[in-house]
Amino acid sequence: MRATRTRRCDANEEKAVANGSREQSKSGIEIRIDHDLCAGSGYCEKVCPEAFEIRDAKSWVRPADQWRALPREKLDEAGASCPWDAISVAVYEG
Amino acid sequence: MSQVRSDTHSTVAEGEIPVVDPAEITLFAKPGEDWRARYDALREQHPFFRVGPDPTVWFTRYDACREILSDGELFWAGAFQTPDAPKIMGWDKQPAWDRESAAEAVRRHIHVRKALMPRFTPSECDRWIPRMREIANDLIDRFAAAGEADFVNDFSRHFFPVLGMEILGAPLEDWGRLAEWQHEVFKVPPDISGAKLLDLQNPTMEAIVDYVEQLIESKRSSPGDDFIGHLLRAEKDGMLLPEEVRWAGTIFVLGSGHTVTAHLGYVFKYLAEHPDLRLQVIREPEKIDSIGEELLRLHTLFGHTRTVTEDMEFHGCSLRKGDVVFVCYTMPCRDPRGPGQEELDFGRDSTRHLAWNFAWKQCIGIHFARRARRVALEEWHARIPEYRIRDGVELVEQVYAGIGYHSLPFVWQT
Repeated sequence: MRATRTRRCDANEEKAVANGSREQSKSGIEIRIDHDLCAGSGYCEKVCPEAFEIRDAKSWVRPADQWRALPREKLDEAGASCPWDAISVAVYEG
Repeated sequence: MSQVRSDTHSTVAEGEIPVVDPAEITLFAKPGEDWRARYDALREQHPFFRVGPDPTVWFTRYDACREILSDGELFWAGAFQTPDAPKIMGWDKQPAWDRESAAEAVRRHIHVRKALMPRFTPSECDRWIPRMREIANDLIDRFAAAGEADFVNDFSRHFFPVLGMEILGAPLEDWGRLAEWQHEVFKVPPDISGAKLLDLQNPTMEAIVDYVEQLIESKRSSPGDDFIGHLLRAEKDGMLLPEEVRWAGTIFVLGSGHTVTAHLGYVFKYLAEHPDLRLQVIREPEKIDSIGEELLRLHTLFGHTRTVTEDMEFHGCSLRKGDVVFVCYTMPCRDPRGPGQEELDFGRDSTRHLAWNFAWKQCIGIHFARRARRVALEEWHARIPEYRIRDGVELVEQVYAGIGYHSLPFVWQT
């Protein structure tokens, strides 16, 4: 299960988001969506439309300046709503 | 009730939900009948309807069906049940009885899905492809030289179920029995009349529930690297409750076998009747996934009900809390109003049809099933590139529960 975390991402995770969407805020919070898993259910967009949008049956992360001021909990809630565990919200060092 | 129109399909009462003649909705297709075309006509005639005296409301068009499947808070995936109600099978999902409890139950269901996901990711499914090829070829070895086989009874009813039993962690000696149960659990005799839809307490269902429960207990002291072991570790880690472990194990058996078996039957029957598309499968294997997905859209399996959690106006229909609605997948999946669904397209890169269900209840085994379909198509056509349905055969197609063809005799030259 993908959880909120603070650590360096590994090679497998880099590979996992090679087919996906990612945005990082200046504070280091990064949202990643794995499009191999995402089925476009839209729950993330419903919970947090500032950070997520559905296009072409996939979820995409909006530019970080649109969500960087949001409470972290709202981003986490959006990530937790994904039935496919396709979203990770984390502070990445790598 | 004042009737304002009556025709061969239905009667429509002013201000009420149209009522369709039960003869339009059958458990079995008549020989040679294109029942899906009849359902297409019903969809075009009615965005929603009821069938005879049954109060269930069928929704027929893409947008409404997508919303029903997507919104578990307004359309709960099960009958209303209070927390103190007796369990039916011991693995019932978290109960819901109104919108608030349904929303909470949906959140819990998504939590459970996340606990299961490590065993259903694309990369995990890729790991099983070599084994899928072995199973496919072991089965084909048994009949390839004979020039004939029953695709359903000699191949598809064993192929994916056997793989599933291995993934589950069932002992080898039980695989045959479990595959048989999977094939039989939703199957009804063609001569039956007035069959009770989705009888959750038939003997085969009870046998599966009992078997899975015993399998879980037998592995509890020393969980292996199989699916049951994964569930037990998730339980130990506090991710899953004991009843969720039983539910996941049981649904794994109930959901995986007959669905893929039926889908492969529809795919291979279509290819047997369409040599040009069969040639494309052989010559352009990179197109197999898109061909298979379009054939799934055209020949979806049955459907699912939902219970309405509060009074609402929905796509022109007045629904009350407690009403039951039904999505028969073939209707929205063939609805030309759906995205890209206005024409047959075996080359589309992506699809947004609803044949796998959608959103919080979308088939978690989708990546396994797609890979298994690809392997079956590749391995079969590498060994048996040309085949046809045996002359004079009258096929039995079970509409109900998405069982599909009970038998599919093929012949070919050796």
